[in-house]
Order: sequence, then C-alpha cells, then structure tokens
Amino acid sequence: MSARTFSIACLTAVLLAVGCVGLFNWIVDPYGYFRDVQIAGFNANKPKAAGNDRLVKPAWAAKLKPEAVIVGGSVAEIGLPPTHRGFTMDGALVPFNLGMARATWSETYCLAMFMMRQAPLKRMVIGVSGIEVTTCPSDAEQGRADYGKLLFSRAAFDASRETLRLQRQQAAISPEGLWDFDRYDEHLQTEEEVAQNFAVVMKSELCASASVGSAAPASIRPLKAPVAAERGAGLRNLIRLALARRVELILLFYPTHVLLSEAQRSCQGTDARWNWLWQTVSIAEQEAAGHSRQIQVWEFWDYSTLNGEKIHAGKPARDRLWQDSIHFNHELGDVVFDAIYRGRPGYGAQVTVANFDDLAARGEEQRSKFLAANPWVAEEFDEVKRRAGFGDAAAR
Amino acid sequence: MLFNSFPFIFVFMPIVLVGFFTLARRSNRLAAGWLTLASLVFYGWWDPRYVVLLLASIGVNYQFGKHLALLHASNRKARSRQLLWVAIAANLALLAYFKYAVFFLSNLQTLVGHSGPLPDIVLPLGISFFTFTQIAFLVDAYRGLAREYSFTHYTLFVSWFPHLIAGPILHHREMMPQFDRQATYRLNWENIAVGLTMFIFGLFKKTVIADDMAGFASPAFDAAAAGVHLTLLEAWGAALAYAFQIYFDFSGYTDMALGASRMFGIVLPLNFASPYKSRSIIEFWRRWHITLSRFLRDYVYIPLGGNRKSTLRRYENLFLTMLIGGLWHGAGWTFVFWGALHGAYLVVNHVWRAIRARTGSFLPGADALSTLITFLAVVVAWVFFRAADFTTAADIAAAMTGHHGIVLPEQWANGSALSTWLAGHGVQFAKLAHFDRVAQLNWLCFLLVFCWLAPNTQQVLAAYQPALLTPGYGTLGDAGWLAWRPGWRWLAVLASLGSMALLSIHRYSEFIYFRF
Repeated sequence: MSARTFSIACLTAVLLAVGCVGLFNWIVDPYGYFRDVQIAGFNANKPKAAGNDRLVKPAWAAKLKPEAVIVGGSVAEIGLPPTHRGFTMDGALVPFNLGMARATWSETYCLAMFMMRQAPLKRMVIGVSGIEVTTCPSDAEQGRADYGKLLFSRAAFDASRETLRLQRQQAAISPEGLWDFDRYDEHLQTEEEVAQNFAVVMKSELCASASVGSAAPASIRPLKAPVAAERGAGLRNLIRLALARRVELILLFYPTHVLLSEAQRSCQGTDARWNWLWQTVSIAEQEAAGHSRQIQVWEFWDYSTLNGEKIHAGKPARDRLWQDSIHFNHELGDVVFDAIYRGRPGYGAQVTVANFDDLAARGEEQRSKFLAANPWVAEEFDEVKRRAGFGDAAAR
Repeated sequence: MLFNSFPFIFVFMPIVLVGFFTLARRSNRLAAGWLTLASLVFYGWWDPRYVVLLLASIGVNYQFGKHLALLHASNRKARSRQLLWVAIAANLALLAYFKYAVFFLSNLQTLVGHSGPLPDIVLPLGISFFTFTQIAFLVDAYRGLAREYSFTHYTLFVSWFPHLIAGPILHHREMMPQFDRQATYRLNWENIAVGLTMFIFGLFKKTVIADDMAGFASPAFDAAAAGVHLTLLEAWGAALAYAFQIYFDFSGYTDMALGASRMFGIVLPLNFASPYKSRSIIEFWRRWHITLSRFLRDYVYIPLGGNRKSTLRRYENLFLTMLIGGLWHGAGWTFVFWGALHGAYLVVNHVWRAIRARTGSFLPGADALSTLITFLAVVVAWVFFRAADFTTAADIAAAMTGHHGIVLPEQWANGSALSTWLAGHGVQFAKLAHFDRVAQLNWLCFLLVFCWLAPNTQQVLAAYQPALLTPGYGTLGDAGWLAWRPGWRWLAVLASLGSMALLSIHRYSEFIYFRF
C-alpha cells in the first residue's frame, strides 16, 4: 500500500468510525437532547439523562423555549412537578424543570436570568438559596449544546449502550426535566435503608450542640433588620427583569422536613432562616410594590403531617413523600403548586412584609402543638443524630 | 491551542498543511512565513497579548545572536563574552520575573515574617522552553556553532508550533538545515503517513490513558491535600497512577509534537524513549525529557566543571544541575525537593557504578532488579513532584511505608487462608475511598507491564527516522514484527486507536508539561 493511500484510508477510516458513533448516539440520544428518534422499548426511556443535567438541560431549554420554568437545585429538580395543571394553566403553557443537582445560587441565578431573556416565559418558580449577584456566562454559552460530548464521546457511546440495555428500567427523568433521584433505587426500600439515608443526608446539617438528648431552643427571634438598597443585587435583578418581561415570579422557600427544621433549630439556624426570608420579602416589596400578584414569596416550613412524615412509616422509598430530610417527591410538590396556583389552603403561605410576624408566631405555635402531639419527632431526631455519629449529650 | 482538541485537529492542522504546501509551490520563503504566522496564531490562541512577549523575546535574542556571531567572526572574545552574559542575564531575568517572582517574594515574606499582597503574574505558556531554546542558540552563536541571518527562519525556529509549548528544546543546528532544505517544501506522503501515525499514537496515549490515570490519581492527591490520611494501598495506587499519568501525558505530547512536525517534513529530536525501562537513574535521564537533560548537561553541568574536577566536585555539580532542573519545572519547594532527590539518586548511582566497576556484577537477574529499583525510586520522587505541598507529599510518602495502616478492600476478605492470615497480622479489610476496585489495580499492573515490555513509538517507526538522535541519549532499536509499514494491519490498528482517541477528546485536559 502506498503512503498516500495509507494516509487517506487511515483518515477516512477514523472519521468514518467517529461518524458512525455520532450517528448511533444521535439515534439513541441517551441524554435526551435531540429527541428526533423516540421509540418505546428502544430509546424512549433515558436512564442516563439523570446526572447529566448540565450537559443537556440548559441547551434543551434554550431549544424548547418553555413558557413555565422551574429553577433551583436538586430539591426543585426532584420535587416540583412541571406538568402540574395549575402551573401550566391547565396545559396551556409549555413547562420545563430546569432544576439541577448541586446547583449553587450562582448557577440558579444565571439560569433564571438566561431563561427570562431567551424564552417566552409567562411563569417562573425559583428555589431561593441566595440573594446576591454573580458573574454569569454569556447567553450563547449557557444555551450552547456541546455536540462533542453529546455525539462524539466515549461517555455518550457508553450511555447509549446502557440506554438500550436499560429500557425496561423505571424512567429516571421525565421529558420535562423532573428527576426521580433515589426514589426507585433497590437499595433504599427498607426502613433501615431509609433511616440510614436520612442520617447520611442530615449529617452535614448537624452540629456538635445537636447531640442525642439535647433539646432545641424553645423560641425564635427574627431580627427583621432593614435591608439596604445595595444588598441582594441578584434578587433585585431577577425581580426587575421579571417585571420588565411580565413574568409571574414565585420565590420559593422549599418545604422542609420537621427533622431538618429541628436540626437547623438545634444548631441556631432557625433565626438565620427567618432572617433570610425577611430579607427576601423586604427586597421583593422594595422592588415590586404594587405587583404582589406578579412577584410572590412563599414558604413551606409547616410543622404538619406533610412535612412530618415518619422515617419509620412502614413505607418503602417509592411510596414516601420524602426520600430523605431534604428531597421530597413530586406528590408533595403537587400540594405546593396546589397552594400557589390553585389557592388551596392548608399548606405553606405567601409571605409579605405585612404578615411576616404573624407567620413567624403561627409557625412557633404550630411547632409546639405538633411536637406535643407527635413524640416520635424527638425519638427519630435522636435516632438520626445517633446514626450520624453525634453522641449522647450526657456522655459529653 | 491544545493538540488534543477538535479545533487543532479539524481546523488548524488541515488549514496550515494545505496552506503550506500550496504556498510552497510558489515560494519557500512564503511557505516558511506561513508556518511562522501559523505558529504565532497557535500561541496566541491561548492569550493574544503574550504573542507580543514572544516576538519581543525572539527579536531581542535574534539581535544578540547576530552580534555574537559577528564578534566571533572578528575574533573579539572579551567583548563577545560580555555580550553573551548580558544576553543570558536578560533571558533569565524574563524567566525569573514571570516564573519565580511570586515564589521569591512569598518566601521572602515568610522569612521576614511579613505578609502582604503578592503580584498577580500569569505564567506565559512555554516560556521556559522558548527561553532555554534561545539561550542554547546564544551560547552556540558565541561558540561559533550557530549563525542566523534570516529573521523569518529564526522566528520559525523558536516559535515552531509543534515544539513551542512543551518542547522538545531545539538546537539551532538541528533545525536550520531542515528549514533550508528544498525537500521540506515538497509534499511527501511518507512524511504525512509517518506523522499521522505518530500523532494518533500520541493522541491515544494522552486522551485514553493519561487522562484516565488522572481520574485515578487526582482524587487521591486532592484528598491527601485536604488532610485525609491515605492507606498503604491508596497511597501506592495514587503514586503509580500519577507515574503513569505523567508518563503517557508527556510521551503522548512528544509523539504528537514529533508527528505534527513530521507532516511538514521537519524531524524533531528524540525526547522520550521508554524511561521506565531504565536500569539506573543515569539511564532514566537519558530517556526522560532527553532534550532538557541534554540542555542541562551542555549548558549547566559542563560549564560548572562537569567531571573535569575532583570526584566530589563532580557529585556537587550533578546535584546542583538537578536542583536547577527541579526549579526549572516549577517555582515551588516540592519541585526543588524533587530535583534534589534526583540529584541524590544520581550521586548514589555514580558511587554505586564506581563500586561495581571494581567488584563486577554479583547478582543474577541484576538488570531486572535494577529496573525495578529505578522505577520505584522514580515513583517516590513523583509524589513530591505532584503533591500540592511538601506536607502532603511527606504524608503520602509516609502512607506508602504503611505509616497510616494497611487496609485492603473489604471484598478481598473472602475467608481464604491468605486473607485470614493477613487479618491476623494487623491488616484490616474495609471499604476504601480510592483504589477500591480490582479493575483499577489491574489497569495499573497492565500499564506497568506495557511500559516495561512494549516497544515505543520510535522503535515501531524506526525504519522511517521518526526522530533525530543525540549520541548517548536513547536509541531507536527495532520493534521486530511490530515494525510499522503502510498496510492493512496498521491501518486497522490506527483506525481503532484514532477513533477511540478522538472519542475521548471531550474532556478539556492540558498537558502537564504546559505548566513548565
């Protein structure tokens, strides 16, 4: 073979092989970006899309141009159902859940601004985890699909093969971006496994003073400090853009499991939580006075049966409202959206500067009653602390 | 621009190749200018501002070189020597500012117990390489060994993109005849085929092996830097994974550099020749980063006195040369220590060699044992080279001696006689955070055997002069039945390697030697 033939044949063969892999990945579409070929039993289920959110979701959202978007971290991605009838105005709006696992406030802020600029948005729900401004990549960069990774990569090829193999597996992520996370994992179905998972997830929320047998502080005292105009520039930007684009914006403080609320209270976090809520409502009021329907702040920190699902409830993970102390399933998200979009009372509350004190007082009263009626909270809290390695208070 | 990137492979290289051979039909000078321009674009892709720095360095050194050559021709030695020192000082000052100023100031602050803001100086890519290349040129010009009147050719020699960022460090006398040669400007399909083969080998080594090894090594080194005590197995796993990462990273880079250059008909010097096959540290430095070793020998070790003075002085020179070599790799005490360690290794090696010269070989299988000991010594030194700081390196080194306990993966506690015996002797079985999977350990073992037994790129392509040889530094040898020739067998191999390598490009991954 001549050197010329060899060189040309070699280049052709390499490019052909890479091209074939690209074609295969495009057809199987393991991450759910192209969605040109969707065949039930062949590639319709995308088990490998979960965990690859950053590769696909922003680019797909830029292509989809949704009208109702959810932005936030894994809590939003796992728990807030984009197809809720109230959220989509009975199906009139194209929805998408742009929540992403381990998303920082910086990512959430940048994606929210990006979506408001790039999509014909009518509604947005943001899981609030910060208020300040951050430097964001350009819109072109945020919405860019990385075809190298999606088509011409070993990882995509492996994901395609796995996608074909795992078609019978429970769908892990919906086309609208809702993720099941651990819900259907086989290793999280027994009570023992669920209890251990609670302890693992809560470990980072606990502190030395939250030892077994120690009681949480009895009451809270939010500072309600005035919020200066230069504070919360990120939140202010979001609100201003939402007002300018006529986007209905919900600033959401996620439902919190009572065990996590107790952990935060034990570690003197409850005041901080209410102070943070106060800053948010103050900024919302400063920026959107007279637009209380368009810009709303909601919290779901109730001490109620919805947030107080027992670890030892005799239910496997697949049937529970809460996967762990942080992540709730979409059934609870449905109740959240029922409250916000259908006005169903009984869970959560819209927060304003005017009703802030009442809500804080009501929350304290609700807590006292709930704890009195549910002694299992203290028992399970101690169990979680013990499992997480926070020893006996008396032994310290 | 990275060799292992789609823009380089699918845009830059095709455009530059086609442009070069098209322009060469009209004028060699035009084609050389095109390559120079392409090299500057290649460099400026990272940060266009630093092209100015590169051009300034080239311009100043070109003038120095020209004057040195003229002074040599007119036999004005004293003036010539003065000018050489000024020129070298100017180059070292540039390097010192960009590479060592922050290191120097931070150490000074520690010394005087004062902490203040440090300047934010960005290290220009490849500055160590283009500075050393030009110092060599200046010394050669002073000695009358190099003379250059064409600014285009000189700029091309320094900025030639395949070597610009991470070597090889070139000698003027190796390159200039090639730029002048008429054959360089004619399309030669054998050069394309050989260059393409080398490039694919290199790309595969980098994207498939080195980057995978980085995935093993980095988490363990990062954990150690965060204060986690690694166990014996984890520490050795991390050290070996890094040893293979840097081996295949540098070997891959070198293959790609030589391959890319060869497609244009330019043969670069041999820079890497299976260093882990070395039977001694002396041999290791004749196989690893050959052009740097050559530079350090010719421009540091020999001017220091080399072996021309007493034996003790020779060892001092060796140690000092390696210390400088360590500092060349990076402004940090871990690099200095790494250099010192290799300096000490070399001294021990020379002492041992002197003893053996008197006593002769006394061990059967000494070669295999020597190779193993050399390899282990190199691996231990890599720990200091890679670790974030000296404390981390010392902690990993301690873990490698079992200081933090011997813990094996829990799945190995299978109730066998061996696992029971080990458990009875203080070995624990538990879940490990790193190197818990047998597949990882198998992969490391496979790479070790591969490095020791497989022929290297130069041996496979020996019949086609893949690299310029430096006497005493590495050999091409012969790969036997694995020798490359254009045919169906190698076509199938390269198509497989090439496609796998391209499919592994998606991760952004710089070459380790880009930082030096």
